This record gives sequence, C-alpha cells and structure tokens, in this order.
Amino acid sequence: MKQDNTSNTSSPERRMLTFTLHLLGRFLIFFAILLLIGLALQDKMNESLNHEVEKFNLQQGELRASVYNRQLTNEINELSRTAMLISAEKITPANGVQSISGQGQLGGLLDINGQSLLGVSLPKEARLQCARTLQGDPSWRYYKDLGLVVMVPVYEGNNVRHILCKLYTATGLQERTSPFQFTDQQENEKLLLYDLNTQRVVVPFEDYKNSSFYDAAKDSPLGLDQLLSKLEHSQETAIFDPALNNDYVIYAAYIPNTSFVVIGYRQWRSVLTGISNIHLIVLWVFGLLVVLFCVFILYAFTNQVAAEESSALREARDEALRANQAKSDFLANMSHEIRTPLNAILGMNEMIMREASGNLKKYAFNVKSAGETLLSIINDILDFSKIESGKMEIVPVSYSLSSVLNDVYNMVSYKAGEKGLAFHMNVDANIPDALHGDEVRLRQVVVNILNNAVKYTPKGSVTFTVKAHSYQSGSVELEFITQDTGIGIREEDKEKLFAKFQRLDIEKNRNIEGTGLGLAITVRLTEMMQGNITVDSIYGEGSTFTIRLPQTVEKNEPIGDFNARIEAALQEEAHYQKSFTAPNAHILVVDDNDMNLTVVESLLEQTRINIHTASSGKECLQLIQDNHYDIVFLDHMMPEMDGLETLSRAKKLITSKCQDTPFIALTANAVAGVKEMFLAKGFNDYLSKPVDGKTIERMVQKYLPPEKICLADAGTTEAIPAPAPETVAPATVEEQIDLPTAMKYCGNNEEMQKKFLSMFVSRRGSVSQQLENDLQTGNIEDYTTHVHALKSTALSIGGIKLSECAKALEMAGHAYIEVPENEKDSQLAYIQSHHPEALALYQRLSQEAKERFGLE
Amino acid sequence: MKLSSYDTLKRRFIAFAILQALLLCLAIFLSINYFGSAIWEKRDGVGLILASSKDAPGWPREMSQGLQKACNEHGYNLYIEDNVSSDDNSLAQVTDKLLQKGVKKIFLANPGYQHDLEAIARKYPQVDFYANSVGEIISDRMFNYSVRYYEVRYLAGILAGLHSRTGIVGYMAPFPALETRRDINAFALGVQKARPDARILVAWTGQWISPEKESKALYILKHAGADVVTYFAASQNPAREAASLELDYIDFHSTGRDLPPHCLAALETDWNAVYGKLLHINVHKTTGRNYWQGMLDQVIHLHLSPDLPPREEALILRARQELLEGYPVFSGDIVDREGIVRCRTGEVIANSNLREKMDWLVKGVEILEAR
Repeated sequence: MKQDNTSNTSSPERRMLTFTLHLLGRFLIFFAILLLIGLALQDKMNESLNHEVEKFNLQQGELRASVYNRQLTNEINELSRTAMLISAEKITPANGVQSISGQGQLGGLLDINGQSLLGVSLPKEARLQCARTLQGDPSWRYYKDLGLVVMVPVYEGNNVRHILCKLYTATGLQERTSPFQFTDQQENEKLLLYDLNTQRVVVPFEDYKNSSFYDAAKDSPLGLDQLLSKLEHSQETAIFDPALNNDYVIYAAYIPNTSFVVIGYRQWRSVLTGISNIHLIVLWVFGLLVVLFCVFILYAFTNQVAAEESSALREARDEALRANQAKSDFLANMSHEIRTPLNAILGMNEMIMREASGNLKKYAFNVKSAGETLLSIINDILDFSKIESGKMEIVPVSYSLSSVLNDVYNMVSYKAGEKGLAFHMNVDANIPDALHGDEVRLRQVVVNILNNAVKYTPKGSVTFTVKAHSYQSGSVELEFITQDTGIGIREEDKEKLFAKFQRLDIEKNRNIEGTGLGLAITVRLTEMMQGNITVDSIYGEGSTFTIRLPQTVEKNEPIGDFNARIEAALQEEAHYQKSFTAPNAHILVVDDNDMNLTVVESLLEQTRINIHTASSGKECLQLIQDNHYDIVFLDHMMPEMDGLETLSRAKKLITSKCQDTPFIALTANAVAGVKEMFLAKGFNDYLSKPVDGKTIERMVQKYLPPEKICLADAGTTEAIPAPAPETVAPATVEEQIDLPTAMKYCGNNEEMQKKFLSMFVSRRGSVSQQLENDLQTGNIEDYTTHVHALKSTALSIGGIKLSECAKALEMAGHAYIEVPENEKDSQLAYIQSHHPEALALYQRLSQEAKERFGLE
Repeated sequence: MKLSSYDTLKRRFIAFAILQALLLCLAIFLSINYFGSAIWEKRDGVGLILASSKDAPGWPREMSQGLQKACNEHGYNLYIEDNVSSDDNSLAQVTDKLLQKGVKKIFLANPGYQHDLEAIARKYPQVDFYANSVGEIISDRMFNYSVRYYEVRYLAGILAGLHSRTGIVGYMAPFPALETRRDINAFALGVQKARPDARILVAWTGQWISPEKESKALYILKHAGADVVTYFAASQNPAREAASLELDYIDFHSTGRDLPPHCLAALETDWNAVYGKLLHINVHKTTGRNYWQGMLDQVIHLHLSPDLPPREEALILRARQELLEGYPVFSGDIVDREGIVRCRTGEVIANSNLREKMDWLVKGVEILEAR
C-alpha cells in the first residue's frame, strides 16, 4: 500500500496514462466483441438469405421441371395417338412413321426386341427401353451421339407387337427450333437438360460450352456434383456457393418419369430484389446499434471516471478532516502547555506590580493586561479544540441562576463601565432560581455574547434581558436577549457569523482584538445544551442576539427582583471599605485544622480584631458560653461534631452569650446549592475555603456592627509592603508550591505566606501519623475528614498538587462510606494505593519549602 | 511472492469478468447460430401399417426394416402400427393416430386393407396412402405399389424344372387370385422353358395364413409326386414344412436361404429400394398411380443356394441376364388350360392386361383338389 501511494503521488501523468489505456483497452474489447457478434450476425443472415434464395430457386426448379415434363408428356401423347391410329389400322405403320418424322426428328417402328422394322434404327441398348415401354412406363432415353428417343407401344388387342419410336437427333436438340429449347430463356437465367444415365447434357442452352457454367475439367455443367449429391434426397435442389459462382444460384430438379434433370443458373440479384434491401437495412440498424452501444459504453466509462474522482475527493476530505483533528489536538495540547508558564508569568508580574512603582508599575500593569488577554484567548482555543475533538462535555449540576447572573453582571458591567457604555439588565422576576444544567457553560455562553456586544459597541448601551418560557412541566426555556447599539452586522455576513476564525468587517474592526472563536464556541456550546442562537441586526445601528436554552427546574421558587438585588449589591460595593480596623470586635473561628485557624487569624491581623480560635465543636460551645462574639466562623466538616450539629446545639444553648451572633459557615465544598443548604440550617452566610483575604474582609465588614468599624486612611493598606523574596525559584513543572495561589490566600502578605508554609510543613509529622493511623485502624470516616482538612490547607499554601491528591482521596473516602458493602473494596484499594502518593507529595512539598523559602 | 488479499481479490474479479464475457459471447453466438434452425430441420412423418407383428419373420420384418432404412436415408420419421386387423374398423383409428403424429405418407403392408382404405383416403386428402397391390385400381385417391414377383417366379420355374428329377413340380398358393395366377403362370412358363414335358401341380390352401392347411397342401403335393415345390404365403411356415417333408423348395422369403440343404433358392425383395424410390419421387407429378417395380429396377432377385449344381446355376444366370436385357416373361406362344391362345410369337402381353386381367392359367398347370 505504501508503495502504491508513493507511485500514485509521484507521477500523476503516468497514472492518468494507465487509466486512459485501461479505458481504451476495455472499450476496444467491447468493440471487438460487438464486431464479432456483428460479423456472426451478418454471416448468419447471409446464410439465411442464401437459404431463402435456394428455397425460391427450388420452386423455380420445380416450375422448370414441370414445364419440361409437360413438353415430354405432350410428345408422348402425340406419339401415342399415332400408335393408336396404327393399332386401329386407320393408317399403315409406314404412314405413321412418316407422319412423326420431321426436321431433326426421325420416326421408326420396332419389334418387341427393339429390332427396327421401319424408319430409324436404334443401337442395341435400346432394347432395354423397349422392355420398359412394354412394362407400361412412358419411356424417354437419351443415347450418346444419337439423340433423344421416345417409345410407345402399339397394341394389338391385349398384346403388343410393335413399338413406335421417335428420335430427336443430338444436333437437332441444340437448334432453336427444337421443342426443348425454351425461347423465353432470359439473360439472368440459363437452363439445360441433363441425363443421369449417360451423364450427358441432353439439351444445352445456347453457347453452353463457352459460358462460365461449363466445367471443362469435368466436361459437365458447373456444380453438377453438389447438385446430384443433394438430389439424392429430394426432387429439386438449389445451391448458392460463392466458391462456384458468386452471382448465380444453381438449381436442379428431376423431371418425373425420366432420368433427366433440369439444371438452371439464375442470377442471385434477380431473385432477391427486395430482400437484399432488407439485408442492408438490418446491417444499417445493427451499425446504428453499435454506435449507440459505443456511446453508452463511453457514457458508462465517463460515469466511472466521475465516480473515481468523487471517491478521490472523499478521500481528500477524510484526509483533511484527519488533519483538522490533529490540528485540534495539537492546539488543545499546546494551549494547555502554554497556560502553565503563562500562569507563572502572570504570577511573577503580580510580584513586580506589588514592588514596583511609577513607570515600571505601569509597564507591569500592561503585561498583566496583555497576559490576561492571552490567557482568555488560550482558554478560547482550548475550549474550541475540546468542542472540535468532541472532548467537551456538558456536566449538568444544580445551580442558582441568580448567582450566575450576578457573576455575569459583575464581569460585564465593569467592562462596559470602562468603555463608557451603559449596561442595563432586565431579569424577569418569575424565573425559577434553582435550575439544573451546566452552569459553567451557561455562564460562558452568556458572558461571551455580552463581551462581544461590549467589544463591538463603541458608544451607547448594552441591554441584557432574561426571560423564561415554561413549555413543559419541570423544565423551562431561558431566553437571553442581548441588544446593543453597536456597529451591527451586514446581511451578507450573517452566515459567516458563527464560523470559526471568522472576523467580520475587518477593515473597521482591526483595532478590536479577538480570535474569532468566541461566537463559534458560543454556538457550539449552545447547540450542545440543546439550545439555539439567533441574530438580528441592522448594519450600523446595532445587533440583537437571542439565546434560548432549555433547563430543568429544580425548585419552583422565583428569582425575585434581581434588579433590586443588584442595586443592593451596588450599594454594598459603595460602602465597602477597602481597609478598616475594628479593635473592639470579637470573632470566633472554629476549625479542627489549626492551620486554617492561623490563616484566618493572619488574614484579619491588619483589622486588629480580637480573634479567638477553637479546634472543635465542643470547644466552640464552651467558648460561646463564656464570651460574646460579633461573628462566629464555623467549619463545616469536623471530626466528632460537625459544623451543622455545633450550630444547632449553639442555637439551643440558653447560656450562650451569642444568641444573636451571625454564624458563617466555612466549607471546602463550594458547590452550587450549598449556600442555600447552609442558610436553611441557620447559618447567616458561608465562605468557601481556602478563604482569600479580600473575601473574608468583606464578609467581616458586612456582619460586624457598623459602630465597631473604624475606617482606616488610604495609606495604611499599602503601608505594609511585603518584603521581596530573596530568591525566586524558577517556575518549573516540578514545583510543588504555587506561589500566586499561596499569595492569594494570605492577602498577598509574604510573611504570612511563609508563616503558613512553615506551619504546614511542621504539621507534616502529626498529620501523616494521623492519616496512617486512620488507615491502619480502618477508620475511613476519620481518614476522610482528615484528608479533607489536608486538601484545603494544602491549597492555601499553594500546594495545588497535594491538594488535588488529597481531594481525590477524600472523594474515595466519601464514596467508601456511601457505597454498598460489595463495592467498598475498590474504593479502599484506591485509597490504599494513593495514600503513599499523598504522603510523598507532602514530603516533597516540605523539602521544597525548605529549599525555596529557607524554612526550617 | 505472496499476494496481498487485495491483489488476490482483484485477480479473481478479473477472471470472473473475463469468464462472464466469454459466456456472454458464447450465448450470443449459439443463439444466433441456432436461431430458427429447428424450423428448417423439421421432418415429415411416414406411417407403416402392418397386419402382423413388425418383428415377425418374413415380409413384415423385411418391410418394416426396409422402410425404416429408406426413411432414415430420406429424412423422414417412421411410425409403425403393427397387429392392425383388417376385419374391424381399427384401420381408421390407427390412421387417426398416425395423422396426429404429423404423418404425411402412410404405407399399407397387406393387400387386405384396400377396401377400408378408400373411405379413409377420401377423408384425408392431404395424406398419401400407398396400398400394397397393383391388381385392381379401386381408387384415384390412393397410390398402389407392388413388386413384379412374376419375373423371379419365372426364374424359379426354370430352376424347379432343371432340378426336378420326377418332372413334377409343386406350387402351393392361397387363392386363385390375380397375383397368384400371374405368379403361377410365370412359374409354369419357367418350368416349361427348362423342361417342356414337366407337370406343374398347384395346391390351393383357401386361406391367406393357415399353417395347418399349408402343411396339408404340401403333403398332398409330395404325395402327388412333386419333388421340388415353391409357395405363396405370408409366413415362412411352408418352407420349414417342405424341408421337414424332405422336399426341395424355392423359398418365397429371403430368410429361406438359411435353411439348406433343401432350399434351392429364395426370392429376395429389397424393400429399402422399393420404399426409397417411393419416398424419393414426387408421386403427384408422375403420370401413373402405380409403382410396380421389378428386376429392371433391381428391387428383386432370386438368391441362389451355393450348393446348386453348376449347370443349373449357369442356366439360371443366363435366363436372368436375358430378363435384365429386356426379355419379357409373358411373350411368345402362350396357350391357356382351355386352349385359348393368349400370346403369339413376336407379341408381348400388354402391361395393363398383365396387371388387371389375368384370369387364366397356362396350359400344363394342374390343380390338385384337396380331398
């Protein structure tokens, strides 16, 4: 096959030539077959025609024979009359003999032994003719060199005494006056009389010996042997044999009661005047058929060529598709690979931004902006290639629409504001809030469209309307309408709109960045979610994009006045103090993981809030009886008594000094719907771990009594500059600690990060011990709780890999607890096999911490 | 080199295609070549109706075999109906049966059918009927055929006259009919030619076929002094009977020559030649309706026993030569038993007379009355 390919590709001319030769060869074979058939047909037709000709001539022969027969019979009758006259003694025999003689005709009277009594005398062999005559046969004989003799008996009563005979001399027979010479002999037909006994021509036609019908070698008429052999079985026969004569048909017929045969030569053409035309017509029609057939074959071949071409095209298309697939895979891999170093660049840039000032900071900011754009582009490409290669999956989860819309608002309104555009958002208050669908992709789709609107709208406004049509119980069709006052889309461009890498109106939009993938991804994602997208646009005036997506309704609670909520959020935003102090405030943080406690303490250190910590629910209950707290942060998952139980006990505790204190849940399971769950259980709010500084500050500020908050002046926040790290390790793939992540969770405070890290490292021994212990005693429930703690603490110091590994173990632990007995083994096996991996990662992280950050 | 499966498949496909093309060509050629040939090769049918079994020794077998041969030579299909009785109307049924087979010519082997045949021949004018008799012409619808046995009887007479020591020869015949009288007269002329003083004794059996009466007649002939006999019968029974009576005889059937030493000679009929001529000529064009063939046509001859004395053989051969040269049997001085002169020197009895009116017996023939 490989060889095939190379030869095929190496010489297309040669290939074409072989193909043409093949075609020509096949055509010639077909043509040859046709020709052969045609020849056979013609042969057969000639044969049939000759057969017909022969048949015609049989009749002709019959006719001629009967003419001769009549002639001979007449002669006999005439002679018989004379014999009767002699019998009746009306005339004397001598007179009778006299009367029958004439020119070339000699009469005679014989006795019963053939002896001549009167007139002509005959040779000895004439006695046999006499005997025949006496036996009653009318008798004609031809005698060589003598002539034709006819005999009749002369009766005397019952007996016969004499025989009357008549001789037609040989010379007389050849004259035109002879009764056997037909005067009507025509140009196209020659006749002669032949005697079988003597094998002589009795009556030749004129000029017989000089004609082409005289076979001089045999001294006989032409074709005599063939005629005689055919005559053995029939009365008359005819032959057309081109070997004998090309133009003449030969026929022969017996003359009854004699040994004579009439032989005739007749022109072929004169027999078949009309039929030969038919012959020509048939040949002509066959020729026409051959031509038609050739045309048909050519047509069929052309079709075949076309079919082969189309199969070649199909192959090319498949090849292209494969190439496209390869490209997509490559893009996906590449963008993934690009993201890692890009994250490092952005992280480093973050450092620079923090330390730099003046122009340098401006440059760094530019780097950040460009980097983020690049990241979003790469994310687009990744998404698109995922879609193309079919790896993109729609993962439906339960989510809150309001939270999605909130995010959307936050993301878009900022951008719109930056560009000086008005952003209006109208949300139908009756849409159910709790839905089931792919929240992430839904958000992506909506944000994409909105971003596009913002991007292509130089001035004016972007209006985002959300509606819902309930068309089926339990599900709803969401309709997102994005209207802008942008540049619009030309009518002819609308078809290209959703094509990938397609950017419209490039002249005008050259200053707008983008890959042209946005809408393509949006469309694909919409389709994957069984939705559709339509566009309506007036060029130069704006566009309206409408996305319709079906979603399952989880709970039929309306979303309410979303606009009002936005207003509130805006208010909150306005009130948010970037930095504050609350020296009089007291908060309690409850977590079984002392590292988390340290993180919260550290994050809130600047606010100078008094922070108490508790490491278990029990301790928490003890503390709230003794002290009043303004806020209690309560971890969800704790051994012995979890967050939910602690809260319900705290609420029931009448001795508590914190009856009105807001309780805020801390959870690592920040999945959709969890907020509602916490609110339902009596929490006031929740924070997802690992917590970042900004979020917790905002949360604290929100729930602290306003009188306890002292606004700091603007300078203080930046008054604590983080010391630059002495050695910045190059970002390698092997790095266990992701610095930007770590920084995020410790309020960009390097000291704090180091503190967390050293704490995390120092806890390694006890944590490992605990996990080993749990696993060995088979206490998977405790193991799960402990590994859960490891997951969040690891993430907070930037140990992404360890965190991931711990998360996997936690999931397996949960699965182990929940699944039926017979499936526990596989989960346990997973835990046992991956447990050492987690410990190893922990070990490597500690090692790295020591080497990179100089921790002891 | 091992071929890949693709190549094998391709080769197979090509072979298959070529095979198909060849088959197609063959089919086309065959259909062209044989189209319509069946019409040209259609053969007419000939029927033969026999009174006895077609395998019975003697006439029936000789006729059916001869006709079969002639049909093969002239391209006819032969259908034989044997054991057809002449007494009831089974002839009509058999004729219908033959006509349904596409028969165009029907030959009747036995003279007895003549009278029934007339009506049937009128009914089917498209068919040629050939009655085995030349005696009385009873219908212009039929053709008559027979053999000039009298010529051979004449030779047989010469042989009997030469061979007889007692001077008495016997002749056994069924009835004094036209055929039998003609044969007896020819025989008598032959005997008298060889031995003018010989007595010719005739014994009638009164039956066409009757082994018992035939035996009896032969017995009578022997006791009347005959030492050489001949007969006219459909079966060969008389020949066997004569041999058992130690009589020298001249057999009427060709198979007789297998019975030496008493068989002197046997009449041989070449039925193939007889029927061959009838099938060959176009009977509708010839003037006569009678086909009476004889020694000149070479359809009969006397087959002589190899044990004959040379003198007898030489004389017989000389007589036969004379006949073949044109000597008429019924010529010269002939006087009947009543003394009426039937023919004079230099005269020949006319053919029509011979055929239709021979109601006399030659002088010298004695009738033996059965007692």
